[in-house]
Amino acid sequence: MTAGHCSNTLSYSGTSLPYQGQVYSGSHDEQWHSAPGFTVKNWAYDGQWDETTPYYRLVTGRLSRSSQGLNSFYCKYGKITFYGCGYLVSKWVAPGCIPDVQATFMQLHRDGVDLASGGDSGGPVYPGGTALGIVEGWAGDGIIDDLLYTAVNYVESGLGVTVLTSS
Amino acid sequence: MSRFSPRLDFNSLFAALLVMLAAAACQSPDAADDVYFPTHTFVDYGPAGELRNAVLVLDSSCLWLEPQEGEERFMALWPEGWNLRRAGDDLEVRTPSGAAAVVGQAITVGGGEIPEDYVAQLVTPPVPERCRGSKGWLVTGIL
Repeated sequence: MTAGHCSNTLSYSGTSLPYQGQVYSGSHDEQWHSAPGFTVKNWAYDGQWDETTPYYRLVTGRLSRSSQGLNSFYCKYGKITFYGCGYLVSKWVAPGCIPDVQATFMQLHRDGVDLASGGDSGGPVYPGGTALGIVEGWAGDGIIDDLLYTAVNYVESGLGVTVLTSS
Repeated sequence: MSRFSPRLDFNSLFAALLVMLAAAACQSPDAADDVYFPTHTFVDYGPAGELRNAVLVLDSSCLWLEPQEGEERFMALWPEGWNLRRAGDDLEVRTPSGAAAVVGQAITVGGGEIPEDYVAQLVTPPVPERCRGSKGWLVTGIL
């Protein structure tokens, strides 16, 4: 799964992952691919080393947009800005380059920390093992930026998929 | 008053020089005005996608980003303040701080895909007929 505005060509470990569909309008910016030959698991990359779940964490639950609280401290992983955390400062962002956009996108901020950049899209957002959404964009001066994400319930409803919360 | 007043001649010369300088400023010899170069205003927000190793191609006086993995090409949509300039035989995409890319080379850009029917609402000047028919890639930076 990744963001809808991403290229529709995706691969994992050199294997092409067939494109299945995307939604890029309103409250949605998501896309999914199947993974033939792989076993899909309830893992989310976090880049953090520990002995039991090296560089990933187990996703065991999800929290819809309405249950995500302002000023809560949430974390994310992005391919460019890596692991980082910030405070949920808005739940009503409307990124203008999404057609018919609705003000339902979420914004994480932390003073002096660059939370998002080009290449981070589709990365997971979570506190612990709870899925909150996927990275959509950045907002700021292009150097030290906030992170915008699509809430997990919109990802699921837009694509007709369910985020795995058990193995 | 003398018809050949040195002061009058100097003023005329100065005025003519100003006109010439203004004309030169308006018609930069390295401008590439024949190429469609659409710009958008998303400078404090951007989708956080990435398009890797796409070749910047000039075709029909339009600029395209052609992915090397077989996906269809995108019309490139550039940030406000960027422009296109000729530098010898090259065509350069320039940011306010200098050259950023050369037509014909592969580049990796940040940003995101824009549906074809939504491109026209995001860019200026209007998309000419010859540049239509493809999705757009909203470029937010060259990575």
